[in-house]
Amino acid sequence: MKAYREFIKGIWQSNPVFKILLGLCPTLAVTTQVQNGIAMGLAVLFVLVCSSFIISVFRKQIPPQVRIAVFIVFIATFVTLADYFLKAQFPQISKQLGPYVPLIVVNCIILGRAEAFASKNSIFYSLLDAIGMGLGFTLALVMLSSVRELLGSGSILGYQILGKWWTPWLIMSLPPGAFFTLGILMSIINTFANKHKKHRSVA
Amino acid sequence: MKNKSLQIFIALGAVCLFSGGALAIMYNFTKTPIAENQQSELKTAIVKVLPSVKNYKEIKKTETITIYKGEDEKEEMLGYAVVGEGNGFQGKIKLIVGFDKDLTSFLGMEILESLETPGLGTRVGEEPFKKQVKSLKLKPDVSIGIVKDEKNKKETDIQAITGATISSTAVVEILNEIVKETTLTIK
Repeated sequence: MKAYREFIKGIWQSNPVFKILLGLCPTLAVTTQVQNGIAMGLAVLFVLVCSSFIISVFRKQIPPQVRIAVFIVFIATFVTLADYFLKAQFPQISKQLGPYVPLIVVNCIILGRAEAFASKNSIFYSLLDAIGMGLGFTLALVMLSSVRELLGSGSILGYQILGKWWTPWLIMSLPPGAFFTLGILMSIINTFANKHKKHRSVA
Repeated sequence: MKNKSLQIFIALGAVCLFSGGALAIMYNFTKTPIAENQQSELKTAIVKVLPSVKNYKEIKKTETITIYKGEDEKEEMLGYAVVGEGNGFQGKIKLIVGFDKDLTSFLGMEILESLETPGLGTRVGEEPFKKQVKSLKLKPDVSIGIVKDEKNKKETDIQAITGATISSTAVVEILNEIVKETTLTIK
């Protein structure tokens, strides 16, 4: 039961984007197309899982005075690995994401999980926590980019869904569209979550 | 106290060793594919802007512009492919264009590298914009202009993409630079 809770919390109760509001920079910047959202989400998932694992393994050896420096070096290493991998295997996607892959280094979700969870918990729970948080982040990016790509260009994953009659809402592909979408999605999700909570406390 | 410093020293040293090692290994594995990707990208790009090209060779290289001469299988001259770069909205834009051999029109254009806003600025690399570039008439003394409105558009003009005026203008500037340099080189 505890394992399940550690895993699911990143997807729902403490979703990094919708609940903790971390990692908003890439969330707002790359979600103009679903493909970019997925690629960004998976890159963060990879870095999160690897860094949480290695930090959890060495959590007793890392001197507390320099722990942040150590975390950042680990994170930067995995980000660079992911960047090289994307450049070698998926040059197209790597080009689309541009500077946002190297910028995963400064994504607060990863440092946050390292400091708040992986440096204090066992390897097993740290991995579950990282996978859950990574999936939660990916899910949020996919939701945001689906709305924005559909309204902003009438397509999903590059397939035209809405016909010629649809006038694309240009603002959805522009930065303000990211803020609108994030705000609306967040309010929907929180309203739903509050109702759910009330319902549960009654029952 | 001394012990603690030593401990920190060892820990940081070990972490950096691990990091350097991992990066060196990954770099070695990805070096060839990344170089190959770039090489094959250049080749596909040249083929795209100069259809039916078989061989190409570099004839001039300046700081921002590289001119390739394209030939078909009978070594007949087909035209020129030119790589050029300039500043876009958020960073460097690098693109390639193909010319017919008399430099009267572009045969095609491809964006090779850009940091433009995904979904907006990146549309300078998509079909509608590329079609505009292809339908341009190049005249020796008239540089390519940029307009916002379709009404005022002349045959030497490009209509800017809505929401991406800066990226469109940047591309047109690079195109003008390329035309100038290529004309100077071969005439």
